[in-house]
Amino acid sequence: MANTEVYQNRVAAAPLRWRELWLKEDWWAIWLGLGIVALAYAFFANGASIKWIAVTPAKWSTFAQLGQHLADNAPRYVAQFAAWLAVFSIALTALGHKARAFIPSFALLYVLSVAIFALGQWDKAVTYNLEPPLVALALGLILSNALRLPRWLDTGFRVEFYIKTGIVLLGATLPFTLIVWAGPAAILQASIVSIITFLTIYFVATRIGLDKRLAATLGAGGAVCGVSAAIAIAGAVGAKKEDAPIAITTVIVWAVVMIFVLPFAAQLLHLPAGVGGAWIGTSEFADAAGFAAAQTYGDLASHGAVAGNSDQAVFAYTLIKVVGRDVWIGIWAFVLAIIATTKWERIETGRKPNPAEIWWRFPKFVIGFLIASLLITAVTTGYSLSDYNKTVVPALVAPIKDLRSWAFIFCFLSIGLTTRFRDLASMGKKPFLAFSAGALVNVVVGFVLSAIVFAAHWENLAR
Amino acid sequence: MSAETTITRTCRHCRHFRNDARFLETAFPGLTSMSSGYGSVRAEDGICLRHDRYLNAASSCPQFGEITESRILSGTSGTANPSPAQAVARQTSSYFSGLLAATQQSLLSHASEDAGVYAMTDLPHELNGLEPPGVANWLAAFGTALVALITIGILPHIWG
Repeated sequence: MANTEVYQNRVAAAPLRWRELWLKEDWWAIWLGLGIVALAYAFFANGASIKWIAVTPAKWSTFAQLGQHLADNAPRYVAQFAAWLAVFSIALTALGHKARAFIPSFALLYVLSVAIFALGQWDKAVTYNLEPPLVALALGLILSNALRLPRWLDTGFRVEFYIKTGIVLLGATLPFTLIVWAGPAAILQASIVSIITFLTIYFVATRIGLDKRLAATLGAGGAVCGVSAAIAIAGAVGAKKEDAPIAITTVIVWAVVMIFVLPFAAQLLHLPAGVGGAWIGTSEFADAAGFAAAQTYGDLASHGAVAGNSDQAVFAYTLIKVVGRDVWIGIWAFVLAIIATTKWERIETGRKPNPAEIWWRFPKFVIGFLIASLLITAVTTGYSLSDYNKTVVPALVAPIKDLRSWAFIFCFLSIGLTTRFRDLASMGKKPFLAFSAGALVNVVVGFVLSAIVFAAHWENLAR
Repeated sequence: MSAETTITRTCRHCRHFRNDARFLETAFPGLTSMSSGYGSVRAEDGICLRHDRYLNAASSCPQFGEITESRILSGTSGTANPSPAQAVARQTSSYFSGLLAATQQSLLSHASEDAGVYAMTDLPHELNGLEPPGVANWLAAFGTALVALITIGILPHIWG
């Protein structure tokens, strides 16, 4: 008996290491995303396409048209729902969630997503600013805050899992050559803004008397990738008890505000789609929230409300946020861990920072994003531009893009459905003040870099 | 060499340390809104109930306490292992022990197993390593996948 207990203890306490491959959602996003891309290519290579299952609501102007579309395509929607349900169920079961809780929860999410997607296709939607990401977020916020949804429904509202899967699929629609061409500028711009934002928040926070570890946690939340960065840095520096919840609340409040403000501010300033996307990538905090804002701006572009096209906004955002900011979280954690353990409190946690942390904290879904881009770029290099547009786009790229749109809608809706303001920890005036100082600096510096310094670069992206 | 001697005195092996993703998602309100307990960036960080700190699993301190129990709580039965709050009452105070007690009272005591609330354990390290998904869960997941495959296979023929 004693041996059994010791064995179980050792199993439980063993480092994850390569078990990450099936115990972290980043890797599951890669398996699902690349699986879909591989399947799409297999169909394409055999003269078929997955477009049958990648159905999306069509443009409509009367309810009769919408009803007709849904009736005609009902089997396709049912099949798509079943496919999403199957792959997500397996992934989430492996992560330790209960499939029987996930199934009804996802069914609700899918039905709401169809409604939001359809609303976005209404020909008057742009007149009333009914952009699907904003509608999804607003509807989710209303449902979760006005009604008391059962907690078990949260099993299906996996914001990060959906956005990571969507980002891997996004890689398949973004030429690798574009990443190579625009990547360095994205990294430069993002690095400048990240460092300035972090230092601003850290400086203000410590000046008004906040603990250095809370200051660093808030700083990373504003400078790198929002809530994910905040908890990564909280762990790296050994933050105190309520530091992470404070940072989480602060980031969420600002991120939600920015989702609604940034696209319309960019529109008011007449920024082209690529420039607006870059600004959002520099100035939003969390990946999911930023995608909601960037997708909204892309939708505005596709409706002709701003110059450029939808892809430019999303691509520019992705390059700045994912390639320029997210991938450096491990470096931030490692450097701040060194400072925390050597300057702030060497004895207290008795830990030597390990460079391997850079890898273990690396947002692995970015690898899937890059592989997807590389794969599709490699298999389509032999096509002329006209053949690519005539053959590859409708049969291979467009269906993947449509499935990506679904993953994003699931994510945007889940943000709203899981953001219960009454449950959030109190953030306090000082943390809010420090974070707000960084957010304002971030917005201004981000605008200068996106709309002035690198304006031509982002305006011509994917043109 | 006994198994005990191979255990290093780091948080990862300490009974005061909790880093299960589901537990952290409950302990940090809002974490699931724009992030997740299951992401790579969190690595294996967790909460130290002894010091009320959020720490890297490789941290250590003189108050290291070796894990001695391994059973999973099945509810609030008096015959089960002590609740997390009870178990740590003599060792810790303040925020997280209070949180655990509140969580247990409001979630475990008054909710059914199907309510999406997960039983906490007195061995709260990465639960995936300790408690792999049950057969029933896997059956439900694969059953769903099977139905999906059949649906996807049949519908085009009906529709076509």
